[in-house]
Amino acid sequence: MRPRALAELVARDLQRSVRTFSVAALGIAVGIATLSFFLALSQGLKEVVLGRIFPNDRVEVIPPESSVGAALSIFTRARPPGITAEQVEALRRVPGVRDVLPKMRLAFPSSGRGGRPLLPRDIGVAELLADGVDPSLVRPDLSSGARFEDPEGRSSRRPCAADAECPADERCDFPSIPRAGQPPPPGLCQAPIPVVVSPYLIEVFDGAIAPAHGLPRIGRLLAGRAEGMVFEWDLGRAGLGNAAQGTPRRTHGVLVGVSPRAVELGLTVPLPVARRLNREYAGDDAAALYSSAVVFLEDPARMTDVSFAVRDQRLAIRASGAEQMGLLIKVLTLILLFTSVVAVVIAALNIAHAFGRLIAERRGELGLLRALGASQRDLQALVLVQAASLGLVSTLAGLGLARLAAFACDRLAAGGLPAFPFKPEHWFVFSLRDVLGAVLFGVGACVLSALAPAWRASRVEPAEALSSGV
Amino acid sequence: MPLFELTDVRKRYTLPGSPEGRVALDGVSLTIDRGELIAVHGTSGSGKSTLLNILGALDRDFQGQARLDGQDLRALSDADAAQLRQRMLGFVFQAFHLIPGWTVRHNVALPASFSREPLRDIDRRVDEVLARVGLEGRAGDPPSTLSGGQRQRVAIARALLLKAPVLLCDEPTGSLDTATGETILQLFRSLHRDEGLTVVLVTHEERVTAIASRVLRLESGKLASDARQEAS
Repeated sequence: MRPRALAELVARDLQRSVRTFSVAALGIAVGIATLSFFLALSQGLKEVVLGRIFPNDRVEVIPPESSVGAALSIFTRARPPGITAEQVEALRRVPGVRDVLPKMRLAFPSSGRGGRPLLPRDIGVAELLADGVDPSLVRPDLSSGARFEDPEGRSSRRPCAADAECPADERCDFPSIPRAGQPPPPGLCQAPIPVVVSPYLIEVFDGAIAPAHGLPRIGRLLAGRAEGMVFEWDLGRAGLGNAAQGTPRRTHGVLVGVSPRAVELGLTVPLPVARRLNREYAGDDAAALYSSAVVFLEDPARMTDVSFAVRDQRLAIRASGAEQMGLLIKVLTLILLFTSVVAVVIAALNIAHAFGRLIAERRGELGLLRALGASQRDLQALVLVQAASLGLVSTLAGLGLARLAAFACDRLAAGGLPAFPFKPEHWFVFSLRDVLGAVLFGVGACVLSALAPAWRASRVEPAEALSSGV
Repeated sequence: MPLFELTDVRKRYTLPGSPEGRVALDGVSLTIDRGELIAVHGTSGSGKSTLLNILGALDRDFQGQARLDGQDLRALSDADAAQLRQRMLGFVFQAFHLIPGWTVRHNVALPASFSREPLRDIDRRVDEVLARVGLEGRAGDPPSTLSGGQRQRVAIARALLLKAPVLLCDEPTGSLDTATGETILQLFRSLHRDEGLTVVLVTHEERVTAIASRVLRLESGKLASDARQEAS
């Protein structure tokens, strides 16, 4: 049978069987719609949870001692645990590792204050965490004019008592922290320390801190207005106490950009700055050892290999929660998909029933087709292509329904859900792979359900069938 | 070589509760040449429709030998039998067997769907055969709007579409009144005379046999007589 003739015959036959198949086709459409909807939702959640909240293409490697020990070493003279440069290089050579981003946490207390003119008032941070990274790692994410480097050596160091006495790109730094109500000590004009923040930090600020303190969200404004924002940075002193060595002093930081490779919670400064300040306030060991290293994987599937290599280096992997969240999403998705698959299977059984009934009703027609030259294979093809066409139309309708439902949910979520960190603009991701999979599943289920009816149709005895009228 | 050649054909239907079943054909041997107009006459249950099904390769589960155009019908594969039916045979049934919901044109064009070669200008061919049976201008109508005689003409047009040389007709006037049946019979005679078709009419009506040049009479599955006559 020629394909065109088959297609015409199928189209003509389906037209007159609309009523017979409408309920079953609706079932397939609804089943595919739920399947596709949940798949897209699962994919969307994965992108937010595993792509932005708990990225699963990277792991943070830490020294074997707990990070609590590292934090306490800020206030003690104990040598902080750390990762050596040799260990970082060894990690870079591990197969499956795309990149290693060593970080040097400031190993002494510091605090900050600022926020104007972006915010209506200055806000203070009693404990300011900062990590130093190799400037080349975040530079691609910064605007062309941003200088992410140690400003030491390029400052005018002009004596000053206030910022107004310094050049435009410098601030008046003081050798000690000025006391309220007293004149500040003589200072020197210095270029502020450049800092970079992560989108994660902005999300946390916008989703949790800003609403709690009645502050405006800065996410959308940041690129245009916050870059260049200067804040006071008190080194060697914080809410919990002073550094073990060195004299607390006031310097300044300047926000130069946002980078997804910046540390998530805290400020990111150039590595030479962290090294220099650690040497000043925490000693030579703190200036030589890295506090952690982010290992970027070529593929999340290489996680196991990399874990072994990390252990070989006598280092540990900080649990991020990505695995647990990934598993939770997977389990929920499987449960939802299972219900959708059951719906499609029930609809497919309905289609099998409808075909079976139709074939019983149309035995005379099948006999006629045989008399007019149709072979058994032609009749099988006729039934199976009808089923496939029915499956295709129903599946496409189901996919359309899913898209509509997703659009409606996105709109409802945008307007109805309060802002929270990482609240996505779109909750659904319809990947081409999933769409094709749904089409294959819908069509496949219909074709499978029609296999037995097709076989029965082809086995109709024409002579016997023709003895009854159509 | 005869067009049809049946040798000692026997057919038995199995019946529930009856080990012997029912004999439909009992040692029928006959030949039919090209261009004959034959009536197969018999009472109900005499085996005439069974004979037609065997001639038309619709029933290939029998004993004996049946050949059409030299081909052993029992030895053919299903696909080859289908092709043979399409190439050689046109069927006309008592119940018309038109597909409801389709137009006359679609019903007439149906055999072309199973043709291995695409039929060029199918619409023109449909119009030709509809004109041949006297149904010009009715191509777009659904069969439900036609009279019984017109429906049978549609079925005949369908049988003529692929220019098969043989028409096998099972009680073609059985559902028609006498006058309408007569016009259908005249159509068969004209197709036989003008286009040289071989026509086999299976009937229980004595009057139908009058148009045939040869009458085969079946009684209880046996060929009781095979007589040539002057067609009226």
